[in-house]
Amino acid sequence: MIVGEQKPFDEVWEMVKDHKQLTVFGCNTCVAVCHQGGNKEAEILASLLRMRATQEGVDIEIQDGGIERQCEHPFFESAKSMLEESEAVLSLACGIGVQFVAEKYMSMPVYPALNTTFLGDVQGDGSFTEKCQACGDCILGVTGGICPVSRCCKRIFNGPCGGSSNGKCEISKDIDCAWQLVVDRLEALGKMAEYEKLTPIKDWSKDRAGGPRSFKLEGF
Amino acid sequence: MEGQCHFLEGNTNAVKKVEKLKGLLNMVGVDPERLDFYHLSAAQGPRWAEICTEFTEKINALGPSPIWLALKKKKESTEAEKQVA
Repeated sequence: MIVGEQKPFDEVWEMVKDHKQLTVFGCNTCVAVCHQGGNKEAEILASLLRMRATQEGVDIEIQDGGIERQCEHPFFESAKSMLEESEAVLSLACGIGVQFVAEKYMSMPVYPALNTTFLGDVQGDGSFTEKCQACGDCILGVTGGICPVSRCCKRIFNGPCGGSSNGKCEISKDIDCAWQLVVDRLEALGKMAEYEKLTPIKDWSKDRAGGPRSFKLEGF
Repeated sequence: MEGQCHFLEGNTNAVKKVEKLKGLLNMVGVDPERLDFYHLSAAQGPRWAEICTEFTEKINALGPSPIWLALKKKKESTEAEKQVA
């Protein structure tokens, strides 16, 4: 899922304080799982902004709402009238949702309340880790299900490098060496022969090298 | 009581949420002491009364909240503007 983190409150306040009306708009899917951008978080952030506005004597009407996903047109139906009547929107979606709202409402300012941080998993309550960089050419099948693109700090394909020590990366003792994990996993699978194979040079044209990516399903 | 919630982890989760809220209140200039959490069972009426008394005394000692003061100031200035008009 997409993981995001709320921007510092002061930064959010500076973005929106000059408006007379604001809709704080949650996205109740990915960023709700990490308790940063769901409809509940939108409600809380709206309350905090009202408190700040009251104390600073700023006259701004703040309402809150949200939908299940800010990255698909059909979900916007339920919030159509609320958004159309808004002067500005503070979106708690990831960068995709913020841009989607901006494209839908050309003349309305849209501000991001979150920093979109990474594509990751939920390790436990309140704990998220990066697992994918959407490089467009998945090699998990030959690396034992461990992604060197997202989990190796150097993104190397024939590791480990000399910075690997006791299973940790030289960047930080808190970061596992991705290639140590690859080796451990291949050993567990009895597939160490795979490790001996040299990985060919990766085709980065499927990553961001070719600009923004898109694809269309046939028959739709 | 702690660890004996009807909703299993409900009250331990609530403790974490209240801690988080205290941080948010502090962020907008409201003393986090204005919010508190107590573990109590339904059979502790007298203790509940004690807590209410203690908490009311604490809030009285803290005085009006900055939000209340800001709202009062706004109301006064609105009334003054009306009088001038």
